[in-house]
Amino acid sequence: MIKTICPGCSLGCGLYLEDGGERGLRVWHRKRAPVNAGKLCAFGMCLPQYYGRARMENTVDGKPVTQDEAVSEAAKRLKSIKPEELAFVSVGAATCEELSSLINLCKALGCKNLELGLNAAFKTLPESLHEFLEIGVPLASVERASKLVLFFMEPFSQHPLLARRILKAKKNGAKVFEVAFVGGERGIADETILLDAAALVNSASAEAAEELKKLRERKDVFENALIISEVNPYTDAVLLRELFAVCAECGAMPLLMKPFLTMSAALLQSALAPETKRGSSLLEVFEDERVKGLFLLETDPAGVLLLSERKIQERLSGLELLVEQGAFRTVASELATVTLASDMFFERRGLVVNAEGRVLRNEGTSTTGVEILEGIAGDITGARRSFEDVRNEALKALGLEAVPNEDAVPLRRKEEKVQVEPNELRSGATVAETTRVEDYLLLYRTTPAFWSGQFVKDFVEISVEAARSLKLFRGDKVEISNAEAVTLDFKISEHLPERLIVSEMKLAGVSERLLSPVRLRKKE
Amino acid sequence: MGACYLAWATDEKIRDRAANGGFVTAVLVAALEKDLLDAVIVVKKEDVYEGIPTVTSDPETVVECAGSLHAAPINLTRFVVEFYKDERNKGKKIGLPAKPCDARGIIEQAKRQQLDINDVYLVGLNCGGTLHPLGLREAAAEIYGIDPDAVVKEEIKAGKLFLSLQSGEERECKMDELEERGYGRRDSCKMCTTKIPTMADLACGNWGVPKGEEATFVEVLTEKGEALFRNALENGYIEVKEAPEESLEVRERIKNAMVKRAEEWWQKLDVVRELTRDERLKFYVETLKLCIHCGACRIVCPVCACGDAAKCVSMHDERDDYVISMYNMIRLLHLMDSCIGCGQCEDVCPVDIPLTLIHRRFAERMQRKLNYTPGMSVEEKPPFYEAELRWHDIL
Amino acid sequence: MLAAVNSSGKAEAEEWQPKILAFCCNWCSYAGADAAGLERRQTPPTIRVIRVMCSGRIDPAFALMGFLEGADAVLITGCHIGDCHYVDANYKTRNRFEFLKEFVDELGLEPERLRLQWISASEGAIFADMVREVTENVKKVGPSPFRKSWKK
Repeated sequence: MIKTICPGCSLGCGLYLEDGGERGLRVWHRKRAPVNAGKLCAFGMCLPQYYGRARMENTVDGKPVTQDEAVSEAAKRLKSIKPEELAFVSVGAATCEELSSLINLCKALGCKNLELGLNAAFKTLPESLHEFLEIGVPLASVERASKLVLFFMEPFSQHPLLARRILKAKKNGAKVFEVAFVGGERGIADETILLDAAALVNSASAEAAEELKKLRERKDVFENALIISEVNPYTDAVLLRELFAVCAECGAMPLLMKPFLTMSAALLQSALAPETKRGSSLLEVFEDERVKGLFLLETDPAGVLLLSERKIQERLSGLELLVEQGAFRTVASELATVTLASDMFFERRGLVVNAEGRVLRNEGTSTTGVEILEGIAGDITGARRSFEDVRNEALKALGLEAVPNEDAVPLRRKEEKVQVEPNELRSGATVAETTRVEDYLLLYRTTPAFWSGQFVKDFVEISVEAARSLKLFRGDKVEISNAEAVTLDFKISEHLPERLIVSEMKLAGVSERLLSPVRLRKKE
Repeated sequence: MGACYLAWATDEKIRDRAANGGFVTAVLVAALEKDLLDAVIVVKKEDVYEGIPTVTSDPETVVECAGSLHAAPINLTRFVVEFYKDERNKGKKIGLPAKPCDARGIIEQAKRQQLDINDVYLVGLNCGGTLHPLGLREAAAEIYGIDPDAVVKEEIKAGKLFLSLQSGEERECKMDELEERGYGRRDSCKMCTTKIPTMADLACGNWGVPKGEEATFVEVLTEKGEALFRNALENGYIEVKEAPEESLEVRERIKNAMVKRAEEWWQKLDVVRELTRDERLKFYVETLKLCIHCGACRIVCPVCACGDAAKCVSMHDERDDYVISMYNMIRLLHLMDSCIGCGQCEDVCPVDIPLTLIHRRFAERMQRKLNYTPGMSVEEKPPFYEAELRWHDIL
Repeated sequence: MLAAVNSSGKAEAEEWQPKILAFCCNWCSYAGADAAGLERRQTPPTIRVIRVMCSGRIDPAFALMGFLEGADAVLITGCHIGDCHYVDANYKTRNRFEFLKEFVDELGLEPERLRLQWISASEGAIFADMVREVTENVKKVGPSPFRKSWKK
């Protein structure tokens, strides 16, 4: 039985995985785990299937090779690309040691284009706010908060193990508010501040700025509140900036959840490679014409990106060099010049940092991931570090001397409260025209399943009014279309505003943003 | 009632490591060494707050795992079931120390043909209840005023919870006081009335052991129990003497006091009792609305044997917008006759639904009406599956 | 079954009319319902019948789903004990019904919303009486709290 951490999101839930041989992996609840008391969400319960996907192999130009061959070939080819034309990306579940090694490799090649998944807004935010994106607050303080605001966050689907903390806070007398496009679903909020999704489709519009003023009128809600939200690679920069502005104005504190474990450890980047470009989204790296060589570490582009596989493949096949290191085959593996097979996350030895700043130990034994990265770096620099050296460097970068106890939350923000000039963050409307929404709006609800593309709820939620006007009956299907069309099952949700559709499944080809206009029809 | 003895291990090492004279450990070691059992399931202690169930045939490991671990609330039923799901283990004899809820879960699985009860040797343990590891850590800090990590040993004796520190210092607090302050045993344990595992093969514990004696009070309940006991005795692993009349009385008295306390707890924890019919409906709807359908409560349930074909799963559709989901409805219905109140479901519920309370509410009235207690005997089939057996007298 | 509950929004009389879901076995109670019609017995238009081959086929979960879909009452009917076309399957019905009854009571639904009735093929009168009686009783307790407000 291996004590491991769930790679589903940045909470870092603890569990045991047992290898049952022919009968596959088994999940056992680890009640001692301080983050989740052993409790797991549907994604955690499905980890055996998650780990049952097709495995990556060591290949060069599509031909199977040994690990050593793949490593030296990767080194050779990475060297052949100019550093400024290279990019390194890791958005998923890499350990701190692996990230430390990746940063080391990046430096060895003289490359400054390293992306660990922080939102694109990162770059444009004042430096004093960076740490708020990196570290949250201890989850225990959620239970003790007297006022909570769920800012575009539906914890029961997005981070279920956070929901119980909110329920406990409520039991302790906390007031719970939600700011959302759709509210009241589980009835845990005392009040919902409903924003009009149509006004915010184009968040840079004057209409959006006007709509967001609604928040400023509710100082009573935000004053000294703990605001829980999610920042993922697609989070709307305007909303994120508004969140910080509100925090600054009202003395509120943000707790930003993330969809990937790596994103919490991105603070390693600040410490180890502050000169690297930070907070580009993978999408930006993708669209950057200058990038000719790409190194993907434990990253499934089809998972992180909202693009269709076809689009991803098109872009990837235009690269001169694609090196991919991971445990599972992805949409990129077929196109990769070199693939490097690592062991699965639960098999690895390594540390992860969760959203609150807790350092957790993944107690597998494999160090293959670090060995590969150090092997490549070693081929380039001539110096190869041991796993212990890598771990120590990672710990030092986090400001720690030894691996801390899992019960402690050692990483804290320097500043408790957000201190910026709020209006600096509110740039106002930057485009004049508003996006006309004539039909429906599709809102993605990002769950662990959403990003992994597995065990998703394969239907969309539509409003009662939509079902009525389309004359939908049980067993019917709906067609949602934009550039492309998909046919899906639906669920009627009485909480949804008339023109909103919620999907916990990526509809690549239909929408490439978290919120976008679509057409909804009954599939005849 | 079976024959009762006071017994202890002859091996000094076992006596040192284990509690109450090491009878349970000695019996299991003897059974392994003399090939009465092929394997045993024991809980390997990580620290005071964590134990990992392990299947082993190595007597050394059994000795290492000796001693109680109150803050690792594991139900071993699923481990036994998983053991027998492996074809290679079919027909193997295993033994395990079993709390009443372990034994009852295993018997329910036997009723559902998941295992042959003749293969499973249940060394029953008296049980006053278990604690949640994180709750105990909090209590150590808040009530005992000590660093949770400095605790090297916990022990429950005479209604008190003792915590020992590295330095040898021992702190104590009355369980009642802990529980009044929101710590102490899990809710399911507080209200559990099965304190002595009379459904197991042996029932072991320290209730009734005269003060100052390092021994275990043992009741031999079945032929399998007799075999375990004789094997250990005849091969010199244990020494025994007949339990004096007084020991029997003390044990009975302790049990009765605990059962009475459990009934009081049930009165207190059953917040639904005071509600009107409409309020009750509202309570169930609002509580179960939080369910995210992760399926954990079903997976850990020691009496459920439905596997992938479970009706609660196949009749549940995420697209439905029912006020209570079919998953919850069917689970509640199906457990009315079989819920043993072990609390595993609540332990693993990600949104902290008070499942023990809810399942007990539905099951209590049905089990009382049927005069049926699940998990007591393989002979008694679950009434839900019966055509009329039990109704004959009642209707 | 679901369709039967869903597509029944037409009875728009002045007075609220409950929607009652009745499971009838093919051999006795369905024929009994038929008989009630042939004998021209007045029954309120509140009932939606689902025919099953035997009352033993009626899983209590079906009744629960009926309630969740918005049925104001659920009736389970079958051959008299001893008359089962499949020898003894209605003993099982009776057993399960006891579970269902306790379940529905604990859940907080009024007992008026659930009934088990044995009806032979010739007992049209009993069928009609049952429908009338249940309709009256359910009218007293009102619409099911499980019915979603947006569902007509």
